[in-house]
Amino acid sequence: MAISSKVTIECLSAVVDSAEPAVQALNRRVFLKAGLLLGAGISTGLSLGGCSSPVGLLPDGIQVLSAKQLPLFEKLISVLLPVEGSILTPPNAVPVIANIDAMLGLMQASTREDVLVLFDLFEYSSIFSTELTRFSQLDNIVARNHIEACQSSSLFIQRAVVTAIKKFIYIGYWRDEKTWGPIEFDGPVSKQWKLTSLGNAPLPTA
Amino acid sequence: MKTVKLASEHGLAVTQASDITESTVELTADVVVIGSGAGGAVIAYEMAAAGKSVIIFEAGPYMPSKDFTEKFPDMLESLYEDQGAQMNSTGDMAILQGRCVGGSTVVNGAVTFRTPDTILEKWNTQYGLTELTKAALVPYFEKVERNLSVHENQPHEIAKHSQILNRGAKALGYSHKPLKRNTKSCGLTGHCLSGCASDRKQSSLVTYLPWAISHGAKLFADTRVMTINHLDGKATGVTAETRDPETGEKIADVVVKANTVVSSAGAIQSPLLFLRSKLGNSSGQVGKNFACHPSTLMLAEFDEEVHAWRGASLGSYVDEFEHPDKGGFILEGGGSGPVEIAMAGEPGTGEEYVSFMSKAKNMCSMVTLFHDHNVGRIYYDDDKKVIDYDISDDDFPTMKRVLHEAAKVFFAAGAKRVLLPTIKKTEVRSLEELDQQINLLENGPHMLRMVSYHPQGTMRMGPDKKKSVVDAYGQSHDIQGLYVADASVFPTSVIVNPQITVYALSSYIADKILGRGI
Repeated sequence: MAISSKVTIECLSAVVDSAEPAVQALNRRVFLKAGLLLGAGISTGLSLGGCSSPVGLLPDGIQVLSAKQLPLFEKLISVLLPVEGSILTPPNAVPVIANIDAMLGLMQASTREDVLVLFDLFEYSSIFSTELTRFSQLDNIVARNHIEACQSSSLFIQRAVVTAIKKFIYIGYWRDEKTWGPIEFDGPVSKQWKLTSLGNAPLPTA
Repeated sequence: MKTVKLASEHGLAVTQASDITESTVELTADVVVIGSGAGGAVIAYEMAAAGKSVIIFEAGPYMPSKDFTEKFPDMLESLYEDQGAQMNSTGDMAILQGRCVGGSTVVNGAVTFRTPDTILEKWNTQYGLTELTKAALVPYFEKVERNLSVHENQPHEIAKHSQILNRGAKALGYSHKPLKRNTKSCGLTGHCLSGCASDRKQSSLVTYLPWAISHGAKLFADTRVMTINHLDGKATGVTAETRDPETGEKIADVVVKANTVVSSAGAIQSPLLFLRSKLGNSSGQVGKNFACHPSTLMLAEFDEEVHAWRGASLGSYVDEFEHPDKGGFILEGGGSGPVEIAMAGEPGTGEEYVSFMSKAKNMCSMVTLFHDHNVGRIYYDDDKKVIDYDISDDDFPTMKRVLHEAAKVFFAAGAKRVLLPTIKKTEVRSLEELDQQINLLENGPHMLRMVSYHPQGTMRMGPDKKKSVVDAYGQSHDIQGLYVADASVFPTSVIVNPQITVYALSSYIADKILGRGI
């Protein structure tokens, strides 16, 4: 559904404005350059296929991520972990999104807010290279190319966001023990090996 | 002479937030120690063993080793500063520090080095620390090494990743040696960075802290010192807050009267404490001169199975380039689990990544670290800490050389491909490709994947009040009775893993404190 350019601009402006605190610690000049690019895109009069993502129900236990952010993560998992035909554990057998949500929940509030803004930025980062399509709505091949383009971008903010997002997905996946067997990772071993505690060292004698 | 017995065979007597029932706690002691890592634990023990009453405050929680899960992400969140997410302000370098009883000694790789002679000479000649000679420090190194069961890795402690490092170094004619570690009957679990679940790593958790407590020291966890108090140029104690580690809710204000205060909170928190307290900074040097040994985890694929997560986490190292005249860096054969392998390099997106991780057991890892310049700064932006550090343009050629030599060692050992630790995909399959890719590297934000395990500097030791924060004995130039004993006092970075330098220097400072009288 097409929406008016006014709404589009408001949506994007909101993303840019809310992103400001997130990148204050980074290089402001470079980020402003990125902001200008967004602005330039808006000024061409392009329209965006909807500002808000399709909203579904949040899975049980999700406390930080919002329903509108789930399509982004579902797309990321699909693009970053295409394990079909490989030895790796299917990501649908692992609570990747719940794990990411829990990781966010442990962060300091200010850091968490910054990260959530970066997620939103990334969702909209594809609109200028993909005829106004949000990342979560991209075909997987296009989405993959977009990720790799961001990772090789001359704009460090794009490199930073993609690297951070990949880390969340990969940690969310690999921290689950169901992923370890196929690669022969042993996981915790001390109890399995019956390693007894040596306890506290004796007091020094000299 | 009073006979002292070990207070407990396992675990520590620690006052935690859950133990405190009053909203205000007032205490008195001879010495207050802030932090329970390599610096604080030694100070606390030496003071308590000398008969002084000692209180130790640790901002982090107390987690007994029986609760270490050997799951790295879990332990990052439980035992590390900022749940393992402490970053430089650019956001491209993770700075890992322990934030728990025992501090970074609980979560390090147990590698021990004495301060290199060349570094001590530099401190003697360029920073005016004329008394801090090798001869003066040898007795302290010997003492702490004996206390911590430091030994050279034996053949069974050289895991496959380090055997490969040795093979590559030997082929190139590079000097390489077994590392020394503070372990006792190492269980070879490969989980050092998650804490040692069987207490074989001789961290402060099982050495200096239980010994200090056996001599009467009181240890408070979950308690962060907010300010150092002083009057007429003399330290008078500290004000702290105990918070519930789960909710962050304040449980109690804790006020301690003490004429001797020792900050051993580390190279990031010690300067922040001074800045919060608005003291000790007549030089304007508090928080400046931060260095951190920027490290990378290099990955290479081999035909043979490596299982980089198996065996002692750190086995051997290449010391060919250790001297600053030869580069000022070392390469350590270091293990890694799937989470580290998954993030240390960029093998590509999607199917390329899946293919790469499917061969995880064939991946070998190597830790690089180098002698960086003290170009960073720690400060507050409002109430938010800022770790302002980027690799300087002066240091970047060294970083390039480090990566080049590390990849050469891998290729000499038979690697099929090496992943350079860049943000974008940089995979090399030959020395020719390596040269090309190294030449293309540029210094800038989010170009490399870096981690620091060794924050240093920020509270320089030295005789000149205008150029340093503490004197040659660790005492503040401005506040009598206020000392610093941690890696923040290093005038420069030390090239190698710094824990034994911290242990020994703190033992030295303890002697100086006692010598001056309390």
